[in-house]
Amino acid sequence: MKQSFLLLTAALLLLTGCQDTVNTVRNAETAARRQEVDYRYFSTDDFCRDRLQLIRIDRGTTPSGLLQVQATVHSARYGFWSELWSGLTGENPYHLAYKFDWFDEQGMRVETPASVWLNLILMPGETRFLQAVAPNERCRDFLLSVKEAE
Amino acid sequence: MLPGVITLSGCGTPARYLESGSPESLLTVSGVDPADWQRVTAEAAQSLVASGALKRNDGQRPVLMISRIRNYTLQHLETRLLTDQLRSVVLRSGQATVTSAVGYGSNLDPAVRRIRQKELDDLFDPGTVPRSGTVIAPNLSLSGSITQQTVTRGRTEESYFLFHLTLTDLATGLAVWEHNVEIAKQGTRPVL
Repeated sequence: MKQSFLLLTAALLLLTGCQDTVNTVRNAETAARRQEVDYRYFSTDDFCRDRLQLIRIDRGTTPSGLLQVQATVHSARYGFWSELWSGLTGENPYHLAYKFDWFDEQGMRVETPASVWLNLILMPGETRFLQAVAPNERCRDFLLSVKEAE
Repeated sequence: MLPGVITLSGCGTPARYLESGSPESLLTVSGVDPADWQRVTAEAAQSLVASGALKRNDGQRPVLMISRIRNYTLQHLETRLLTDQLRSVVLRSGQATVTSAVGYGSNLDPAVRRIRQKELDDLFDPGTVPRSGTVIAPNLSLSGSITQQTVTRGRTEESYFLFHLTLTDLATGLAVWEHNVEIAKQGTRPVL
């Protein structure tokens, strides 16, 4: 019994220990002056919400005068249990898809070939920056959609 | 025998619509799939309109021609899947206009030249026929290339695609914008 428990523990440790996670370091005092967007977050997938943390959304203007947004997301799928589960289910790395939709000053969606689902592959602990640029100067608002791709 | 045939014939899936960019869309290792074209279009389109390269200092909208996208892969690729979308993006951005009078492949409309040909003189009211010398020359040209490298190890195959796009100022010949999109795919064939 004790031997089985030790073997099981060793197997679990092996499963979690084999996964690569992302480690980061950055300058403590950042020089960039960010314009953070006050956003409304609506989630229909609790699993996705818990695994993918939305850190912040910033906005800016491109050299051509178009609205640009950047969503900072972080994969929270690290740690013993998360890595054990993703190791067992083969969900490492984490496959997601995201899409930006744009709206004009009247709230109408602006059609653009860039508003398509794009794949995103995240390593455990990785931070990514989802950027999008408005298709024209009439765009005022945006909607970011994220879903699990597998 | 008969039950087996019935079972096998029942395994097919009838034709159905897919949402553009659906994860159910077919994915191949060695080919450029619909999702790949969409990704290249989305990334290149956003980079192009964001760069400011389409804006002129005099406030006038430049005229863009769609030139050649060279295919350096081992397969036939419909590069119109990229250029047609980029034309649309540029026009909708309001930053530039796109000419159909000169260009490569389907981006060239032969009607611009045809309507000015002498043999049509008797057919149309001469006052309504566009005269020669009225077509506006482009200021910018969009061209590019698609390159593929494939490596195989055992049953595993990996393909790397590089989509390279360049916007050239036709007055100076200088590149004013460039963008690369990289796509890497890998798959392992079954043993049997």
